[in-house]
Amino acid sequence: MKLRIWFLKLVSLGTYIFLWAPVLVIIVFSFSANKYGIKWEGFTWKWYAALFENETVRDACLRSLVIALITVLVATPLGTLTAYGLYKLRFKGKEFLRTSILLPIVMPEVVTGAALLVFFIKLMPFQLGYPTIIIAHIVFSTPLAVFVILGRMQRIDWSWEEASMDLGASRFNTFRRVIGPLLMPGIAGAAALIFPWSFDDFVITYFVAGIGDTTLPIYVFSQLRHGASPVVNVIGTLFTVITIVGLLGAKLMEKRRMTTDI
Amino acid sequence: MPTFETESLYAVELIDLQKRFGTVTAVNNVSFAIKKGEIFSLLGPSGCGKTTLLRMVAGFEKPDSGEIRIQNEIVNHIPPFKRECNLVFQQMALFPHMTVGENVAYGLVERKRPKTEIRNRIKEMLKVVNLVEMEDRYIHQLSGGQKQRVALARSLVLKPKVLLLDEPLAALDRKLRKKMQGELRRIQREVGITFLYVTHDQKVALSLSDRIGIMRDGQIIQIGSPSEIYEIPRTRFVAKFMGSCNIFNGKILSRNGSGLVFEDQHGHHLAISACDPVDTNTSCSIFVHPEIIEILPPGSTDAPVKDFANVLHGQIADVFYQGDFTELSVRIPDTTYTVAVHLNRITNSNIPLNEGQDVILRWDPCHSNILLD
Repeated sequence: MKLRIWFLKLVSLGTYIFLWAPVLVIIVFSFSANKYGIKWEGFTWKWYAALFENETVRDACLRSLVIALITVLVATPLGTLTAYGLYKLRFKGKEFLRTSILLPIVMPEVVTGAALLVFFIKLMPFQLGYPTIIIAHIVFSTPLAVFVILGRMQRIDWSWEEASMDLGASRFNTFRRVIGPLLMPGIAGAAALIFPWSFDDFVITYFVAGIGDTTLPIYVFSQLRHGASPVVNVIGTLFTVITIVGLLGAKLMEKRRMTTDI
Repeated sequence: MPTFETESLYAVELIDLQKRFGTVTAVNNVSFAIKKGEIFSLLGPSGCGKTTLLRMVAGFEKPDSGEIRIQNEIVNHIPPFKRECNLVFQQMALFPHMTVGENVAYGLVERKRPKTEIRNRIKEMLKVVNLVEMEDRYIHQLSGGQKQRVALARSLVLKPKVLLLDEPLAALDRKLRKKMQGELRRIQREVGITFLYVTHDQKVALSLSDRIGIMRDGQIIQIGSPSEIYEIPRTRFVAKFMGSCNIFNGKILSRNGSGLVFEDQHGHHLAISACDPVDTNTSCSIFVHPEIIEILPPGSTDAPVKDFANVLHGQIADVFYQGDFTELSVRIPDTTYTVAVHLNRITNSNIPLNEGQDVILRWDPCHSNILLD
């Protein structure tokens, strides 16, 4: 009995070490003076300075942010409406549609990426670049939103909708005043999930990016091909910190909402 | 010759209403009218179609055939958000992301009433339901009874032509339900709005309603005031549904002045008053309520026993003490049946209530009547 608990503790510890050790290494080496960023040679800020002077990184970062933002702004409302239709409307083939919406989530990214590439160059006369990246991101993000919001819809008491219509609200106003606000945690959750997903997607983006419009993950990858660079460590550190702060913020908001929600 | 349509006497009229779900007929040829200002209850066991009927009036279900009129206007094709009736849901369905005041204001905001009018009407309505100081609370901060009153206020503030209530008290505990019944009636009298109340609870229906319609298998089988429904049930189903009721099977033997003489299947003769003209020799059933039966000690020979009362000799088979009354189950020798008797503590004579005790049962024929099926 005692042994088993000991063993579980050990496994948990191991899991966390595997999770955190690479991240910690990156953070530590981002401050190392070693020019390959692979061993400790004294503290320095110079890689951070280098990063902020590097225009290519700045552009790639900005591009990634814009793509992620547009993806969130399009995929979230689209996913919300799709989820509403799949949950509330009755029509033939609904079960099929509801299952197949998950396809982009379970399909290997290589397949989705390749399929989109063929689609863009053979079927639609699209110039590879910004637009194709954004379309591709919306394609794999919308199902995520549908998935998350469908989950929230299962917790909604649909007599709220009838009550609202009974009190004189049209279907549209009912959604605007009652169902929308009550779905908000789901919608916000979907957006919070889509943003990083889009921001750090590599595989699909790599297929449809074309030449020139590099996103941050593609830039990092291309840097590593020429050997390890401490700038990559800096990027990694910055994102780890930003993500953790974001997560803590979301957690805090959730706690605040818990006291007023339902 | 042209006639001028005067304002209708009725808040709601249902004419030959029919609704099927697949092969199941939920509402079958129902016609009745609800008078303005009354509390009309639809009472029936679950699955009898009463909720479907209510939802058709509200507009959430479309009838297959028939007509629904609200104050003389046919509303069959008017969507729920344009009908001048409101529904109080069984689950209340209050909006959790809004305060009490915002919930009550919901319909008025939809109707784009001016801000000051909305403010005044909320205040006024919250006063009626005794929730003035709760205006800024959220729904989860309220008790069950308070939520119920918010739900009521939210609908009543719109001054509907009829308020539809779907078992609104079912979720409350017994004590609170009793209190809310009184509240409901007070509020209804105060605002003067017609109520159509759906319930499966006989006690609630009897104490709350002006009239009751008993529903079974999609049909209305009897309509009447609470006392009519309880005291003169016309069918076996109503008699049984309204509470334990003694039913005797037999036939009409002869006419006796204003009443009839009935013979049960074991040859006992019982006198009954008759509402309807019935031919002799018709086989039928009669009922008597357990609370109007008296018990007398064995061997009582006082005159009234024989002359104008029904008398049966029996033996106490079971005694169930209930506090406010005692329920006896009296076996009638040489028959298969037992008669239920409710004794209250005053009329209870000094007969020992023990199993096996011989007793005489006596009741006035005017409390017995014929069941039509």
